Amino acid sequence: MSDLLNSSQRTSLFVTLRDFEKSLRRVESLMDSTEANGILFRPRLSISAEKRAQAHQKISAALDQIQELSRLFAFDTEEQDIARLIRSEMSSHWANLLDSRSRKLKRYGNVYPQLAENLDAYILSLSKIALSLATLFEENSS
Amino acid sequence: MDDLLLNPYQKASLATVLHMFEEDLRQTDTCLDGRQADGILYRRQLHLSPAWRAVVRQLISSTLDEIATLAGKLGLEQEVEDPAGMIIA
Repeated sequence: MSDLLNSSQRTSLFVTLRDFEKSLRRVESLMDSTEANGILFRPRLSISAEKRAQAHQKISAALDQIQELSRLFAFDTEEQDIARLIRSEMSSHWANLLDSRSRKLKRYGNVYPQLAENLDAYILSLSKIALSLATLFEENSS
Repeated sequence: MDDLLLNPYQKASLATVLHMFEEDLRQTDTCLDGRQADGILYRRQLHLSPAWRAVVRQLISSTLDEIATLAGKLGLEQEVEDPAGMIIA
């Protein structure tokens, strides 16, 4: 069956199915993570238990079909480097945190004089951590 | 102290930045534990020694403490988010 597709068609189908699979697994994870409690967020899924069960069934059926198509077209499993994703995310957080220093918050209105002494040391510390994590995943991943 | 230091827009901006940072720190922590299941068409790999994983885990833990301290100091509240919104998107 794999010779039914040329190289470009094969790549296109693979990417579509891979991205769909990622989304399906992300949805599963979101549905299961409603007990997780963060500092600044708390997930609370608004759909009923019955609909959640239906969604799980549909996701399972879709994953079975992806598995079948993968077998029919002899798709290989793609290896993805998580370190690269983490580096990218942490670099982005470093920049966003630096943009949250008191003087940068002027774009949202007047800044109170006492804000700098209450905020900037924390923000600088967090931004340094984000950068050090980005660097660490660059230097220590093989 | 929070309302004296930040207007609502500044507060919302800071909360968003810290929220996203916190989510990715927790996601990174999950990756360190190898709790991310392999897929059919992809497999996620993290080439990091156990010693470095321990270092990162400790760093993440202390960073979350810092975020909690800052959130408390500025009166940033926990946001209830509905994953259904993200699923539909």
